[in-house]
Amino acid sequence: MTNSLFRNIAVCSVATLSCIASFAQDPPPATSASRSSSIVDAESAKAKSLLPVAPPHGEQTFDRYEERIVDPLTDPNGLTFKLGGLPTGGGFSLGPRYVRRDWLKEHLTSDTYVVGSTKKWYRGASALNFVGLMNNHLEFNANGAYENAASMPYYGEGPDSSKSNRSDFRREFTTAHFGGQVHFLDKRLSAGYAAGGLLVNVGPGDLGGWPSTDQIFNEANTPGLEKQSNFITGTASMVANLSTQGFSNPKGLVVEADDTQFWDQSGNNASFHRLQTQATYYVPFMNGMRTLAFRARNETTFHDPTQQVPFYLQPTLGGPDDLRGYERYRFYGNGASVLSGEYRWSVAESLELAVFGDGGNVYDRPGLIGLRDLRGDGGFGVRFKNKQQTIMRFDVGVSPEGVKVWFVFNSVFGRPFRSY
Amino acid sequence: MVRLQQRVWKTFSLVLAGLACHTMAATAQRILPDDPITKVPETESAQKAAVQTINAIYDFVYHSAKYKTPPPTPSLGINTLGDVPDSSWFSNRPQLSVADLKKGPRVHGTPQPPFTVVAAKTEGVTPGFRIQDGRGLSYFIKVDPKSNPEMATAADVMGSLFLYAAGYNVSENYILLAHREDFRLSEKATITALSGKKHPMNHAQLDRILDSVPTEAGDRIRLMASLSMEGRIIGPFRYESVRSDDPNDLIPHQQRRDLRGLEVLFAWLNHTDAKGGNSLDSVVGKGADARVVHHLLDFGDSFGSDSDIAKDPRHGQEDWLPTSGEQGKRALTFGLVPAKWEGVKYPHELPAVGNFTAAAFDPLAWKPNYPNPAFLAMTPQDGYWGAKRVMSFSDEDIRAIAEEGQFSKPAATNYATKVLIERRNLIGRAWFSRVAPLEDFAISDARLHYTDLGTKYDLLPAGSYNFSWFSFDNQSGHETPASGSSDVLPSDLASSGVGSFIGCTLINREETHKRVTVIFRRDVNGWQPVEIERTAM
Repeated sequence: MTNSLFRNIAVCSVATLSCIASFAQDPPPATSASRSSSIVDAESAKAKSLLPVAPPHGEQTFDRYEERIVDPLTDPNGLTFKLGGLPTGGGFSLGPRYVRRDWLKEHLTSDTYVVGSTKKWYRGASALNFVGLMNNHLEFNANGAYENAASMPYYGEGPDSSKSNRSDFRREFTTAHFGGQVHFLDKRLSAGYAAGGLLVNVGPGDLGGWPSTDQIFNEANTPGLEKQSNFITGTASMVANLSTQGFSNPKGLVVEADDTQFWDQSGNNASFHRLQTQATYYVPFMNGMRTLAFRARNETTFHDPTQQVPFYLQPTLGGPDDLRGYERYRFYGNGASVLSGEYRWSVAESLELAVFGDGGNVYDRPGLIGLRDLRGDGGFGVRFKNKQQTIMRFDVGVSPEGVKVWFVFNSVFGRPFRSY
Repeated sequence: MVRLQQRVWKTFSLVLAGLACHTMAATAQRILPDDPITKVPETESAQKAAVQTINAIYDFVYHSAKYKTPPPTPSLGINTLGDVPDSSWFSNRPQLSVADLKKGPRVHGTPQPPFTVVAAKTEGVTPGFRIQDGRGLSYFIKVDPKSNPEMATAADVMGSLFLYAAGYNVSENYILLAHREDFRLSEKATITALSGKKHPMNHAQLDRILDSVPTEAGDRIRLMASLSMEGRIIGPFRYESVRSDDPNDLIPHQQRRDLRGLEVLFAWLNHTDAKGGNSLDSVVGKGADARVVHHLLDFGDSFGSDSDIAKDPRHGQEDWLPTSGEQGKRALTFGLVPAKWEGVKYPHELPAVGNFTAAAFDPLAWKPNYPNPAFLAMTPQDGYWGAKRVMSFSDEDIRAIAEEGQFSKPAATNYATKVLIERRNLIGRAWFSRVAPLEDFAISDARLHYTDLGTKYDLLPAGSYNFSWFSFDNQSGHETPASGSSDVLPSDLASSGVGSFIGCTLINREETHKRVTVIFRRDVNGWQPVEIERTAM
């Protein structure tokens, strides 16, 4: 209030003085013998009532909120809060977060958070990272997490699962990993390995309106439903970023692959490994204001004939990141392939529109996917961006199963979220 | 409508002035004895001026939301001829020689080795650091992106030289070609990490920064060195309002002609990062002599450069937020009806000049990265003033400054020169069409003489004008028509004595809204122009 009053007084004073001093258009007061003396008089008058320089009231308010809200989100160090952090379908999530990035001259960072969502999904995670070692060529990570996905949808296995068989189950994953990564060529090429463990608990879902999965399916058609395993895991990963910086989108190819070996420790014959590969290719044209973007993703599981893949670790399709005309987790299978294409056009630096098409499906064994089983969709997207980065997007996907509207805070062709 | 609003504003100004002085004298003179002034007397000490900051996010959001052109307000900070007098903001520099153009504000010279690194920003996308040279002078160092060697460093140097020659205060910017072994690390050197905290800096971090710099022939690295400003640094200035702690800062910045007209110069140079944050005030002098001096700095986003990448084609053309009908059309047509600028060809064979072109450049529609309040408030008269500054650069002047970009390929210098000449001419044509571009008024041999800038620069056909002469009462502001209707001074006015005022209004015959009224005062040397009022479309 006081600031506002001072500001109003200052503005009025300055307006008055400026009128005196606006040399050409406005006559000076008659007391001034010359233009110069009228200006000198105005300067003298202002000199007697100087005020400390201060930002406008709105900016001062913003400064305070930026310090409390924006900085902790964008540049966290210390106790703050976290938005998001759950797998897709978890709903709006929020929780406390403690981040340190200033240990060992910023070579040791830690990030611990607990988030809960409106759908009663929870995740608590803690990570310790040694970064920037050997001239930014090496890093080590240790992390652990507990995740309670209280209402995972399940429609049955395979491409022909029926939408009417929607059920839901609770999936609890407790994980711990230790790993390292090496980086080359300014982090354009990275490779790493992480070893750890995964404890699993599956139970009835928490979402009303849908039957629990165990009421519709059984262990015979849904491996792992009754007998859950605990695993030792080992994940090898590689990323090759061959793209260059662009205006709305990058230009070129990004290839990612990771392979996770699951060693069943519970005697349930559930040892397998899951290989995921993804290639994303961007073709900007018209000075980068239009882009054709393609993404091919394949996830395949491999196991001995005596082993099987539990349903809660099977690849899935459906949702805002792959088959956008279908429900989240609509298809489960031992493998999944999806090909997406987008035509994007920039409307402004902050806004990009897109039309897209997705095609793909799940399969039981590699090679079993065919055109007959292909599930496809098309749609329209609105992306709010800061240069190449998508801040949030609004995608509408249309498929034979209906129209799906997605409002999410990620890039459509980004790396998939991994809970294990 | 504009004239009406200006008159309302004048009336309002008078009332305010009267309130301030408790009296409104009936005998106020419109033109005072020292009009037109050529220098603003800045007499009060600014010793108390303190550091000001601008919140970059707030500034961006606040001004992005206020993208609409405000109702017109008169331009201030001008003399009765409509020119900007010398001040702490602007200096009317006489026509500079080629040598002076190349030198600009640079009096201290390129940093001298050895270079002691005393501080660095992060090792991020656009690394930068601060050095002390062998003489103890402090310089800020910036680098080129690897994708476009020479681009950002040349832009910073050329931008500062052009704006200095145009009359603004800028930093001393130099191209520095150095060997890595010339750099040493101060024991007290710090580096600001991503968290914002400062840590002691080590050699590996310095090596990483230098590794990111493109290497020239002879294993030299090319950098841009900007000398620290003279005086006590008190942060950037804002393009609106005034500093409440500077007694000499009287005019709302968004109404200053030198800041409004700066838009035209920035459009010419394609300096799209036209935010308050890219300015700097310093207090020069001490005690009673302390004065705030206002500087422009950081021209890395000029010409075809966006500092760390070639210029985004949208920059200079559209706002960050979708605000135009053309953007709406593009949204609804799936981008199949592109804007003209989307399809222009850039000189990709010359990465040093980045994305710089005169194709699709519309001087009247050019935009900074986000709205600037002074630029939004610009009137055609302000634009005309800015265009005069731009047109004052000859082809040879432009080439001389482009050479200071020290491009290794002559083709890059030639290209930058060619584009600047084309953009200059587009600016002259656009803004000189908005007003009657008449200058250099004089009465000699009983005739009114003037220069038509449109024809002087061979940009526009000569305009033909009707003449209306009058005698002018400086006490009442009353104009009494005289008999003449040509450029010949009417005989009844020619006999006026010393101290009397006469005037002539020139009205464009084809476009009658374009008119100039010039008032002369007779002194012992003859008739001197003392006031020019120019109307516009």
